[in-house]
Formats: sequence, structure tokens, C-alpha cells
Amino acid sequence: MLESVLKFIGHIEILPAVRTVAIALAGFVVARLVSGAVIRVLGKRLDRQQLPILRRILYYGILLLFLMSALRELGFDLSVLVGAAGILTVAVGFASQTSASNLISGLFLIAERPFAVGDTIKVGEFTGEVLAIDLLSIKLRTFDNLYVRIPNEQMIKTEVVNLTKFPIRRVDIAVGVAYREDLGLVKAMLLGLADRHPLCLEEPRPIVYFAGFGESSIDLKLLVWTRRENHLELWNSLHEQIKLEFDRNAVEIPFPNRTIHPAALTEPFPVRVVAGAVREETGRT
Amino acid sequence: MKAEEHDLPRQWWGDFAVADGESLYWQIGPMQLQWVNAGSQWRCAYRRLADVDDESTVGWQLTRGDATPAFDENPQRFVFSQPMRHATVLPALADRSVITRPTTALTIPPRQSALLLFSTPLWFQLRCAGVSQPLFEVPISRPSDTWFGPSTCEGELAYASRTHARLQGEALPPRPHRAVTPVRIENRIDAPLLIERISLPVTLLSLFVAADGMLWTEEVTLRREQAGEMAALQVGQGAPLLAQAATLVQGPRNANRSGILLRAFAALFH
Repeated sequence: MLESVLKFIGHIEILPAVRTVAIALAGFVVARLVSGAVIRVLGKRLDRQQLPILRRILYYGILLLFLMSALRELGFDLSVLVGAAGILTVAVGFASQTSASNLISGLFLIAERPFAVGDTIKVGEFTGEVLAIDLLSIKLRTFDNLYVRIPNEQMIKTEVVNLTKFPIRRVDIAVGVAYREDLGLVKAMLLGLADRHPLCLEEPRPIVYFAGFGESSIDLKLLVWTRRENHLELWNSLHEQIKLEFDRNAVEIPFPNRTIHPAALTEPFPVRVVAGAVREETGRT
Repeated sequence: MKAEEHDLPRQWWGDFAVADGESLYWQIGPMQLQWVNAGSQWRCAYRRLADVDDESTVGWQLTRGDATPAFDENPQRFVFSQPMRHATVLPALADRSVITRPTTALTIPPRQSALLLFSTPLWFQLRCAGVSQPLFEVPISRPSDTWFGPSTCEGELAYASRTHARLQGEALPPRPHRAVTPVRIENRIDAPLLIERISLPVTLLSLFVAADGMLWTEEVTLRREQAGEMAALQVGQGAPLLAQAATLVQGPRNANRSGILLRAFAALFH
């Protein structure tokens, strides 16, 4: 038994095997050094998404070249491998259409840059901060701290709203007032609130927009601008202040109301709901 | 304007020494500020009076007191490894451009120029003695934020300020919480220049105090050589001629001011 093993080992040429291992190890080292050096040189010119992708491409590309040299050293005929790889590629291609689509979409997203890591975006039903833009998908953190993975193919095909692209943002506040109110006075109140609010920008100027004659109220919209980081705070505080100001000035925000006429020529009759009333016919309340 | 104690500077800024357990109290325009020395810590608090607006000429007051807080709005607290008695207080110009709107829009005809006086709000800076960076700074009257640019996508955040845009020679009301900038506007094209708002790059300007105590910046020249909003900016060297016997109080926040072409005039948003 021992003699057979020794005889087998004796047939293996030691020197090429050592060269193969050396080439492979050198490949790991060179790939690491070169990819690291290129990243350091280009670090300031590329962003946080492009750098790791470029690093991986360089590392695995150089490593592949060294591994192919190592295989040739061992005596493998690479043309056979290339042929097999071609057939395998077709098979893998059919199987991984979605992944390939995601990969290509990811490259387009990185080149186009509609958003960056750190931006807040809205995709479909999800709104959140972009944590990573990877080759196959992007990762979001929603405001209630959920982790969402969205394939890049979906990002390319659907509308993406970037909420933090520009430094300022508009806040639209819908307000309905009773038909009997003086619209000029209401408008002056709303614009006065915007003027006094420290978070409202002076330019672009706040506007009160007439939205329409609603079913139960006259619908207005107060349009004010603010820095994007103050959007939520302004939204909350302006609603509060509008309510307080309207209460102070006895301006009615009406509930939905309906007027019922029994017939065209008669006066409308009042409807009063009495709790606990019993109907004699059915004996039920 | 007065300093209640004979050992306090003649202006509301300067070098101050406050013993442990004592305080200094400022009233400058609409703002009241108290600085308390509590041994190894300083406590500051400030508030703005609602009934004193930015146009007010109430002047300033500076008094010494004990460590009892006069009010507790906007408290700040600074802790040191050892007791600190000395502080430097300085006025400073705004940390962003100031968009000034003349109370009445004015037009400069073609090939004409005008020298206008614009005033901008000042900041109150508190520093440890001998340290260049301020420990704490606050605008004396808080100007509104505003946006200045051709659209809501492109532009810069700035402060909004109203001004009378007085001409040279008109009497200037004494306001210790504002600095005056002489702005020479040269309209070198064949179209009138309507000035509804103008962007003053105050971060590039220094602050000087004249003999009468009024604060000035360098004279700024905005030269309009093409249609549109852009203008070549030129900042004068040293205090303006209108500031008599002026001395430098503080240099610019941003010293890089050569060859600047900036968006100085803006039409209404479209």
C-alpha cells in the first residue's frame, strides 16, 4: 500500500505544482494590492457605491487571470474550459435572467445616480433612507426602522421619488373653512402665520391657493417653503397654529354637513337623534 | 447707549473679566443676554423682546450683576477644566449671504451707477480669551431664512433682511445690532436695472467701527456687465470713506474673495 502511494506521488511533478501554488498565492496578493492602490488613488473621485464595485471587479479580474495562468502551469488546456464555460454561460444565463437584469439595472442606477446613499426616497409603498446601492438591489431603512430590499430591476421600472434631492421643499396644508367666512380675512391670517413662523422661508413667498368649493366647506391650500430637514416640524407646528388662530378668531372649520329637503318647495326639517328611544312597532331600540 | 460700570468698554463688545459668582447682562437692540461666571463653568441665556423690532433704535446697555439668572430662555452651559474669568465678546456679520429687499424697489437707468447704504443684522460672539474660534454665537435679531436663486432647484440658502437702501449723505439711525454696507451698483449695459432684492455676500466682508460707534463693512461694488442676474463683485480695501476714523473689529468669515462672479440680482421666481 505504502509503495503504491509513494509510486503515485513520484509521478506527480513537484516543480510545476509548486509554481502553480505560488502563482495562485501571488494572484491573491497582487489582486489585493492593486485593487487597494487603485481605490486609494480614485477614492476622492468616486462615491461610496462605485468604490466597492470597482474594487471587486479589479480584485476578481486580476485573481482570475492569475488562476488561469496557474491552471496552464498545471497543464490544463484552457480552450476546453472556455468551451465548457460558454455552454455553461448559456445555461446559467437562462436560469439567472432576473439576476442579470438586476445586475444591469444596478449598473445603470449607479451611472445615472437619481439618488445616493443617505437620501430619503419613496418607491411604491415604501419610504425610507437609502442604506446601500448594491449590484442586485438597494436597501432602505423605513422610518419605523424596517429593512427593505428592493431589486434594481424594479427601481428601473417604477417611479422613484427622491425627497431629499433639493435643499428646500414645499409644505402644502389643506384647510377648509365654512362658507360664511370672510375669505380675505382667512387668507390674511394664514399668510400672517407663515410670515411669523421661523421655519418658513421668506422666498419663495407663501401662497394661499383656492382649491375649490367643497361639499361642506371652501377649500384652501397654504403653500409654504422650508428647508428640507424642517419639513416635518413645520408640517406639525403649522397645523397646530392654524387651529389656534382660527379658534382665536372664531373661524369655523366645518364638519361634513348635509341638508335634506323633503320636497322642493318645503322648508328643510331638522333631524334629531335621541339615544335610547324605543320603537313601538318592533319593540327594539 | 451706555455702560453702567466705568470699567466696562465703551462699546458692547470687547474684553471682559468677570469674577466667580458674577454676571454681565447685555441689552442690544431686541436681544437680552446674560453671561454668568460660575467658577469652572459659564452659563449663558438669551431672549428676544417681542415688542422691540429690528428697526428699533433702543441702543444698548451693559450691566454687572450677581449669578442669579435673569431669565432662563435658550440656556447654554460651558464647562472648563479650571476657572475662567476672561472672555472676549465680538460682533460678527451673518454666516450666510443676506438678501436685502429695499422697502421700495428702485431702478438704476442704463449706464448709471448709485451708491446705496444697506444694513445687515449682526451676530453676538462669545469667546474664551485668547481663542480664535467663538464658543457661542447667536444673531441679535433672528433674520428669516430665505432662498435665493433662479429656481427652487438651484440657488443658496440665505437670510432675508429689509432695508431702506438709503443714499449717501442721508442720516443713518444708530442701531448697534446692525452693520452698514455701502454698495456701489454700476449698471454698464443698455437696459435699466430694477432692484427688488440684492444678495450681499457678507461672509466676505470685514467689520469696522467708526469714531461715532457705528459699525461698517468695506464698500462693495457690484458691476453688471451683461443682462441677467450675475455681477462682478469687488470688495474695497479697508474701511469705507463714510466711516470716519474707523478701526477693524473683525475680519471676514471667508477670506477667499478674489475674482468672484456672483448671482447678485434676482427677478421674481418663475
